[in-house]
Amino acid sequence: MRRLVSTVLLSLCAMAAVAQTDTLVLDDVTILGQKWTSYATGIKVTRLDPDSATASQSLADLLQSSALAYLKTYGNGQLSTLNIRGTGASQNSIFWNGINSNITSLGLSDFSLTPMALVDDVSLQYGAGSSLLGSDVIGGSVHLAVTPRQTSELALALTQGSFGLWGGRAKARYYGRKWSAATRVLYQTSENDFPYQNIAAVGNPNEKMDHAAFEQWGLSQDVWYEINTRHQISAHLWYQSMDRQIQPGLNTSQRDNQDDQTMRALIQWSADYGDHNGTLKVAQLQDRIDFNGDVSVMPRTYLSYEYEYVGSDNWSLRGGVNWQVLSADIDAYETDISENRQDLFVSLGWYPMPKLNLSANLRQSLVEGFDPSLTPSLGWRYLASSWLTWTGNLSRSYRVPTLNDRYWRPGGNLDLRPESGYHAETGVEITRSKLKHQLSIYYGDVSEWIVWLPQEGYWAPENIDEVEIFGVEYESAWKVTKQLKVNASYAYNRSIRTAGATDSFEGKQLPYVPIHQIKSSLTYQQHWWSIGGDGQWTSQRFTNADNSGSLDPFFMVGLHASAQAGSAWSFSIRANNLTNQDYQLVLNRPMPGRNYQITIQHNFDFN
Amino acid sequence: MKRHLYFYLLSIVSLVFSSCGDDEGPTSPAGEYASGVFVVNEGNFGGGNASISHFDLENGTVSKGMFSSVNGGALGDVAQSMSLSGEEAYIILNNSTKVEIVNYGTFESTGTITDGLANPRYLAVDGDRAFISNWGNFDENFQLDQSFIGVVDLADNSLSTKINTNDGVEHIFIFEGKLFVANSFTNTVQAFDMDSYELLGTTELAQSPGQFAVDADENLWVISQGNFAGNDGALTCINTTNFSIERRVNLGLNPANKLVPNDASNLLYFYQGNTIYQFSSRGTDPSILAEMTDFVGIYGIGYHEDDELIYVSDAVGFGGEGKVVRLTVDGVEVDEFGAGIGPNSFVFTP
Repeated sequence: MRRLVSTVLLSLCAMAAVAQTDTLVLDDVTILGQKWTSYATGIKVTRLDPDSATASQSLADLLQSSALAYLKTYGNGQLSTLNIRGTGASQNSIFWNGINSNITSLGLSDFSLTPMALVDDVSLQYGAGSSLLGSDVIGGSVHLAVTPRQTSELALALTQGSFGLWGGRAKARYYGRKWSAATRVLYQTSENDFPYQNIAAVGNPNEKMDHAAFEQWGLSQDVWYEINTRHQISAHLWYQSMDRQIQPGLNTSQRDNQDDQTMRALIQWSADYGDHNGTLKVAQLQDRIDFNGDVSVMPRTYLSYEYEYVGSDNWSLRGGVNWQVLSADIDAYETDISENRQDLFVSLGWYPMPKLNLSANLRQSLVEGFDPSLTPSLGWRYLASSWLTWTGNLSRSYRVPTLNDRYWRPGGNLDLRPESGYHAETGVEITRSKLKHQLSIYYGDVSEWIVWLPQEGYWAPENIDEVEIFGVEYESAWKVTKQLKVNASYAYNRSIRTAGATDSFEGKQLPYVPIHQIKSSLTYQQHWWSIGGDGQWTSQRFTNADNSGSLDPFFMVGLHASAQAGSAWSFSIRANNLTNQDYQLVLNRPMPGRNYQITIQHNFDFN
Repeated sequence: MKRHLYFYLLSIVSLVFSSCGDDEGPTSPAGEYASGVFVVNEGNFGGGNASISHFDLENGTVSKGMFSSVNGGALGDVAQSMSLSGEEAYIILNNSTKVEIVNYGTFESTGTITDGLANPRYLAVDGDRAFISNWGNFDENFQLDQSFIGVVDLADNSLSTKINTNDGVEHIFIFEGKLFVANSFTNTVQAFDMDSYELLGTTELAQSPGQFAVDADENLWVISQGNFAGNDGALTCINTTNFSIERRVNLGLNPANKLVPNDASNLLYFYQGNTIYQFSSRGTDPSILAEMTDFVGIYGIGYHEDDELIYVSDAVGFGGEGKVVRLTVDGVEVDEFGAGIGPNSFVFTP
């Protein structure tokens, strides 16, 4: 314990000495165009600022450096899943413009597939949110969008980096009285032949990764049209592809290749009459995965309507429905699957007195044969004084078994039940002029947790685990001067299995859920240049259910600097893993040591 | 616990006595692990944490991960099987596409076979040759390209011949001067000549044949898993001269592909889920020997002549370190010891 404390102190000192990157905004976050955020009372939502220094990175990189969450990453640029608030990879989701975008076969998202260059608004919702967001949101959710802005711009950037990384991106915006548009394009490729020490081989030789190259494309297109002062229609398109060699585990002869392609299209119509408003969404999403030539295609059609009535100054009511058709053409399924899902939801927001905000939400999901129970939540937010706010939330959560859980042959189990959780959280926010603190304590119990277990020559899922989750999160943002900003955060998380496949798993911490995490960042911004850095420390992570194996704690520092030459040119440099730490985020998958990225950007000014 | 201790002491006593008389056979190596039971722990797929552990029958101690501690570095990924011959142990690392050779007394590495392997599964040694079953590679439709037996010259660990087989060649067995192979993706067992490597005959039996066993009457048996969820697994006795079926016993279930003999009682053991079955080849139907109610799932089975005990392993869903339980031939639990991740089989020293 003393060693831990000293390590923590040491790392804090080190972080204070270094600089940072990503600015965490601890405001009462309302995600533009996402009405549910006004009813997420007592639920923690933070905004992560993807800035120019992170533009060549993925959503996984951004979360790893700045969010209180663990990214289970299978190598550099490889599959990366999110463990947030002590839950597993399937118990959270990426929402694109408010639509759950988890790959329906796997029921999870690969966070390394999302390039930060395609979005400008990233928010992270912590904890259970099923009553507001539906299935999968047991541990949290990540929300992506491009937001309309009153500016026109065009910027082109080129990036070069270690291990053969290079790429370019373009960002264009048009703002007019009726029409606005934003276009983002990205191309990136890397040999990714990073050196590493092969701790699995006799003599621990230094080797070069020979099977982790990737090529990535991305496009996002957003168009907004103001029909009149009350009606707006918008169209959104997203395409991402990642063709990569799968980085093999050490000492394995695997040489797999995977090409992931995601297409998303949405038309959204919003009407706002002051005391009532409505939003209609029609969307088509499709994930396509080509694994060694074997292709799976998973289309999803999405339709939703929600209506909000603002009764008076002190209450509002929201209700809606969404309907989805999940399809899958996967060789391992006996037939092509097409499944209907409906969600009905209602929310009430109420200010019984000016300083107290209450909200109640209720959701019923209808899935053939898998109806999750009615899912309520109740939240509050009380302004105890000008500087102290007390929040809290009680909720249920659920997760519908994935298509693979049910239809994969052999093993798919049609008798599975949805996972089900009970959650409580409370927090305080303290705002002292330039310093803001946020402290959250949470507790949850998730049962019917689905685990795949071996049978005679194949694996099959069962509702077998029950997990009790307890944690504390502290985040702070300090605007030291106009130029200098500092963020620091700490998370303590215990996720204890109370029932499992066997006795030796009970009472044990879930694998890949670190008990302690510290993340911090610092930026210093002058009018034409800036420097920043980030530091993080992650405690030991167990690699299996009986906690007999683990990965060592690691400490990591990143630095970045940028400068502008006039208004037309800007340069930025980023250094990751400065101390050249040898670390793994998943057992047997090495990560790269110190590495750099340099970006040159040219801005065309139309304003 | 007292009962366990009693059986444990009993087994030591019987071991001491039996080891006095049985000193014929090939020379054993010297070293800490020269005598006892090896447990093959395949490890997590991709985790690179395959290991061999050793159970010392005399003092009941378990040694784990000897390959790493003796040689440095990791053993590899997915230890599919291990075979002993002379002083050597041959450990097949399926997902590392290699065979590690160690002196099994000391566990010092004495060589590695990699030449020509593709999805290696099992190994049998005959003199200075090793026969290694290889599934071959999968194409993009998950169809096997060409399964084969690799014949390896143990003088220089080079592949000298590939004997093509039907798909998914798994267990191999040298019996009466012939090489029998079970092709697990098919319903066939093939027999090959040991010198010319010519196909001598093919036996069609229940789908997905696995491990071979010879009963006390010198009959060759093979277990078939059957079709997926078809409950049509079977035990088949093969005529080793004309390769016809001598006898087929339909099991009405889908067993694991493992079959071990108990010569003394003329019994064959196999399992499905948590249930151990025994079959007397002189009798008719198999019967339930024991239910391992606190197991996640049986993953390996062995029968040790020396202590006359049945060894069963639980891979605990690959969520952590597995365990081994020893049972009497009456199905009574004797004791339990820890294993590595994913214990799939037992190898008993001669």
